[in-house]
Amino acid sequence: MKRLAFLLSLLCATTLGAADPQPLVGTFQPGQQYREPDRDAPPTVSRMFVRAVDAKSAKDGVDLPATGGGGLIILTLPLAKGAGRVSATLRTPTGDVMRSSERGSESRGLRRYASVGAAEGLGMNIAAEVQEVIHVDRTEAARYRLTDIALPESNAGLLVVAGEPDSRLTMTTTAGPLSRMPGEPVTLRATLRDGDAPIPAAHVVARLAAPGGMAGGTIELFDDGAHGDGAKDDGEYAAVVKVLPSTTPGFWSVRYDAEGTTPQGVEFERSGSSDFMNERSAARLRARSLRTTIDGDVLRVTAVADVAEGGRYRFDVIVASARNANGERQSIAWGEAERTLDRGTSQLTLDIPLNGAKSDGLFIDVRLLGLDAIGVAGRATVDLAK
Amino acid sequence: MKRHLLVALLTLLAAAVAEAKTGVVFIHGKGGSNLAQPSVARAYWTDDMIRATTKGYAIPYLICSYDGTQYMWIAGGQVAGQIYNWMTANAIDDIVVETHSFGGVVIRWILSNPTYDWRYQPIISRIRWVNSIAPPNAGSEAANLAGTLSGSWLTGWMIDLVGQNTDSTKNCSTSSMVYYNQYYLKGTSGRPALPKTIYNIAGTGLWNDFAHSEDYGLATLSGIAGLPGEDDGMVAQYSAQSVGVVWFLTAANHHHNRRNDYRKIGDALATDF
Repeated sequence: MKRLAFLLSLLCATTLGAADPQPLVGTFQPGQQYREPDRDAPPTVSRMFVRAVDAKSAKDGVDLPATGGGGLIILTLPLAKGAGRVSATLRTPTGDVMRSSERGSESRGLRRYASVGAAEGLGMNIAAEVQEVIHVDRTEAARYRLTDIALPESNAGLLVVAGEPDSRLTMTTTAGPLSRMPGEPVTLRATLRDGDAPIPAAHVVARLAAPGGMAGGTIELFDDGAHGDGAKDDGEYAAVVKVLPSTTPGFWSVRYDAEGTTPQGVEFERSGSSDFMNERSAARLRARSLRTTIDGDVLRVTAVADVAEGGRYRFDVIVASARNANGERQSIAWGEAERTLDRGTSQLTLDIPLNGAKSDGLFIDVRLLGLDAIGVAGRATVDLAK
Repeated sequence: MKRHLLVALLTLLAAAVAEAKTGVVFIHGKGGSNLAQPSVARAYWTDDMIRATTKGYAIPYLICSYDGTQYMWIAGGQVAGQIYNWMTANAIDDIVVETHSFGGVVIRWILSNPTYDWRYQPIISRIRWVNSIAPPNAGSEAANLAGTLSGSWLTGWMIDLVGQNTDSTKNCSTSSMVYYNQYYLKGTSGRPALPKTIYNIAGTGLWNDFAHSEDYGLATLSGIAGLPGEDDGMVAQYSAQSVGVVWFLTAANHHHNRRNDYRKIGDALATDF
């Protein structure tokens, strides 16, 4: 008898241990607005550009076009671990020359800061002693030049980062979709503006890098009205990548580089980056399988998932109201259920109390999220007003 | 003011529940893998910050030490293991969490995903609230810059140089944080509320110590990374304040706001006890 009880308790413990956690449900604060997930990566604005210069090319100097009227920050970083400090002479378009041994001064409008701890904040393992910054208080719209670049032998080259924090000339970049499902094309976008004025006829390229991988070849972005870039010559550049170079899941990086001349004749360069998530094809939520029923004050949501890779997933549901007069929806309730899914087809169910909220015209936003490998396996919505 | 009233109320409640035992947990930000060493994690915060926050070490405390190069879910597991063991061994049932930078994202991962790890819910249940210093809740433009400078773009160089764009830094890019915020993390606009309140402290200063290379570095990052509005050299105010309740702003920059030197942030944190 004791033996039987012991075996039963073991069975119970095993079953409990393997069971999925209890679903969690909750309500939103009254008046909280529902938000659809952003389709594209958030736009990032760049007023800087980057040059990687190898040891051989460094002897020729590095040209740095400035757009004028504001400050210029030139950060030099050595390209090698344990590398020595890079020193260079700065030559301005007005004829001033600040040699590598000079510190500059406020009255001169040129200053050099040796030993700058910028790389740590960028996650780079470079000692502060070998990082240097030159600050130009107010630039001319012309080329500045680094010459007489002294590179310790161990250095493979240097990175030059030139930022113009006050510049009106910006490159805004994005990539989308932010959550890219297998087979979806990726659109790369860059917008060049001088204040509000578009900058046409620039040369804009992008490169893609898979997670943990090196960059692929350059992809040209166009402003010809034929590449998903809006109107021709409106300063919006785009390229559509129909097939990614690999299926590697995770966050892919996009690096953008632009160069050109504004309609006013000012030469410029800009660099920027963006990222998008290349989702795994581990599971798929069948959008058409989404069903809802309301029993009293409880909303039941069911859906079917096709699972290619078994593991832990989470079935998330957000319930929102019908659109109000302003076209907005209010978030009402949410629920999430962690499930261990086997390979094959799985039925997902979640009951969400509505806590007295009106059940007319509800909008249901359903997601299936990977937990063993982070990523969206699928998202579907249903508008009960339709 | 509301926060002070809440502190007073909780103090009264704590007095009523005589057995409640309060403790403080420190969760550092991203950095090197050596932050998994307790001594390195302690140095990150500095002894004076720990002393001030714990009122001269009178409040039991734990300094979490996790590999500062990892994604939030990896860091979260390391942090949860340490908190769970500490609170269980010491019968701590009222925890105030102090985080700096990416540490604020790590604790938000734990608070947002209570079923992801069996230790999360017991920890969440014992947390009173979280004080989050300069958290990149909406990402950091400095992390974007790290992506722009990543060694991935230097094809053909045959060198392993600056390719230190670690998983924790990638976790903090604005694209990544928008993605995680809308699918995995709670507390931002339009998302379910967090189970415990986060009080944020945003940094808005750069030049705290003119003779220090760290300050030059942060001012440089602020200038070239395109951090919008006010920032502390690594995290913009808008990002830090995109989750939780604003407690106060500090003129201490991103390096100084984890210490108790340029501004006495540790003294402010100690007012919770």
